[in-house]
Amino acid sequence: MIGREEVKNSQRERVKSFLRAIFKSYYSNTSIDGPMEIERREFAFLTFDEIMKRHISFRDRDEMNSFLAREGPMHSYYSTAYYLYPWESEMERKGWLKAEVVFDIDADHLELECKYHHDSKTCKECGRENPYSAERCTCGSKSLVEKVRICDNCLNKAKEETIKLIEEFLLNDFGIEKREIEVYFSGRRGYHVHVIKEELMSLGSEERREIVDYITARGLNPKYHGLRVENNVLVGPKASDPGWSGRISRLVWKFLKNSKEEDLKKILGKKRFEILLKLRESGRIDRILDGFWDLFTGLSIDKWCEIVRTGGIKLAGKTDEPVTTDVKRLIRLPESLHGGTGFRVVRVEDLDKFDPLKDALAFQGETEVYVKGRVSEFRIGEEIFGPYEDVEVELPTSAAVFLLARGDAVLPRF
Amino acid sequence: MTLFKYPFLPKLVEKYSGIPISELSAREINLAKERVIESIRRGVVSYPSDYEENVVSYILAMIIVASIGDQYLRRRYSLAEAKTAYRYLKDEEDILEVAREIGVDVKERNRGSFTIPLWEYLKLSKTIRDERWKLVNRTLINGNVLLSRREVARLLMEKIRSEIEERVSVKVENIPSFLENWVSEIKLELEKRKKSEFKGRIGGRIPPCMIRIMERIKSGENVSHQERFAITSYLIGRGKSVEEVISLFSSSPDFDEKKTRYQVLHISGEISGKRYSPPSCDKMRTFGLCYMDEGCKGIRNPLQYRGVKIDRERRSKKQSKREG
Ligand code: SF4
Ligand SMILES: [Zn+2]
Ligand SMILES: [Zn+2]
Repeated sequence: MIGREEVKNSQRERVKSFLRAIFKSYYSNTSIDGPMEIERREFAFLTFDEIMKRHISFRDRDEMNSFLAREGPMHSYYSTAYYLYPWESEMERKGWLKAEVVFDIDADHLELECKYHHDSKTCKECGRENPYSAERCTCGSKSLVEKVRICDNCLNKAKEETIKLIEEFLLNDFGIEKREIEVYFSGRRGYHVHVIKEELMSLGSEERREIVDYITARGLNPKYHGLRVENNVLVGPKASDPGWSGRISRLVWKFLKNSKEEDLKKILGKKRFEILLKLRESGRIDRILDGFWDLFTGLSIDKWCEIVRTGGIKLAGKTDEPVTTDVKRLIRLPESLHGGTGFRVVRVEDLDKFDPLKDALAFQGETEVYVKGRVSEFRIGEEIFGPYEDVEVELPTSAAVFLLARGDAVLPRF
Repeated sequence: MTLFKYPFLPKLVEKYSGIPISELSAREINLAKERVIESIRRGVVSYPSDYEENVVSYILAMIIVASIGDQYLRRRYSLAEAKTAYRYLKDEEDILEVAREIGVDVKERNRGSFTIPLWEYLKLSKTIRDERWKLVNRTLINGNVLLSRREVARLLMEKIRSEIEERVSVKVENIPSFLENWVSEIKLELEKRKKSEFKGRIGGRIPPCMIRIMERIKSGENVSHQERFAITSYLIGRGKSVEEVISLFSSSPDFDEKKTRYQVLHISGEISGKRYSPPSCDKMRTFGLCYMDEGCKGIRNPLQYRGVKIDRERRSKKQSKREG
């Protein structure tokens, strides 16, 4: 007799080898460009057996492509850094030359409400699924693994944040040109923005830290942007001022115009709040955009800081260690497949029109899978699938791989 | 031409470097020595009124500094030269020309307002740790940072400092014989300065073990990992800031700011969240780092050294109060 554990394991093995095979076939039929100066980059791969292969280097594109076709890795990464000796395993011996500047934006870090509805936590001990807000499983275990789902809200919010980063900060403030920016879908719920500009590539991590602080508004103090008291009257920046000055003016204006009344009352105090209501009605609140801040004379600078810092970009990762400041970081290989979804890490030309659930699909044809437990509705391409519960279904292969990779389905018995 | 005022401009250095030694006047050589000594004593230099003498004494001073080969002197001298340049630059009209000569891309926007490319700004402002210099608190226009004349001068100062430091860091094998006489005099001056600075920086009662380590660092010796760890954890334990500890190490010959910063941050607990305390006196002894004196009686950790003495002092103060 075969025990339950063994059945589970053999199911998992079958899924793995199916995914490996289908990834291999994708790579055999696709020729990936790979990063610029490929011979100077370090590559790293996580295989479906969860073995990490690091410090790999390729002489050229062909070598990389045949590696991919041979191994069909679950996750593929390359170094944003250029090295003299990328194959060396010790950092000191690699000979760091320069590195792309990369920004990582991910819905996970946007503090979205929808996450509480669609994400869950799987118990490592008993396999049960718990709500995202759970601290421990119903069985009492604390070892929970987050199970991430993708919804249109997540994707749209990540997209908006990426557009804001590019338009407001990279193009406008940093003066980077469009052709120097490459955007990639991360393969899951976010985007990677690569800046390929020679002058920026030689920056060390301290200098990159300043760039990150700039876009995330960390350490921003409005007093350096013209917010000051003159003859007992508050004077501030105008909406048309460059950089953070103008942004501060616009943010505060937006805040005063759109915030909930109770929030405003809390920050402004009763008297100012009442004046504000009148100003809102008469439209004279727009005076702020022209630099007239007199209404708010006497409001502490800390309050302004609080309002203004909401205008920064939220980058993925811990705030103190985002990808951008790390000059030795690995990032997903463009055009490779994300092992957690089966989506392509695809280059995005027109962010506005980009639809990851359509444009990042990698597979053709149909595949039969057995859905385990309950899977709520999801969209792939133009079609909505599900909800499913413990049922065998035939799905477009991209949708099938998506469920298999997430562990929501297994392969049917022969 | 007013630019001659600035002795470090590449084209001036180039022009005057070629002068044969035999043509140098005793006065010029003496000016060079004075220049180095002034930098040690006061942290600035004075430009001789004759611009040729200024350039020549600057070049000779660099040779002297390079040949002494002391990291502390290299830093102090290049900072002194840069500070002096800053004093002139901050209110002079020639700032754009100077910038161009030393390869910094500064542009004038309106009268009194300038711009510099973002990446250049980031590199030059890196060592300035003040809120107002953070990029997020600057005005950025299309990849250019807006600056006042004074701020441009401050950035140029940084550029000048790092270039000079690089120049005086080349190894000079044979000290020209006519300079040899000055070297010992300068070294003496240097030792005096190090001692007084070192006293000023870390006041209070310091156990002899730590004094030894600091002295070794200050005199440019390479200290062991254990010594580094001991002194760092001790100073952090005494409430010194990360910056202060880093500046102590800056005179080590193999000073690597990044690495040092990381180590200090690590020991201070800012990276790991766990702050390390200094090794116990027992451990210090096994490393051969203990130099016990009477203040060490009854203590287990170098950090307690200060405690003992202060307690005694306090006690006697209290007593005298009571008595008085
Ligand atoms: S007894 Fe302790 S404090 Fe005194 S010198 Fe030795 S190690 Fe330092
Ligand atoms: Zn459980
Ligand atoms: Zn969502």
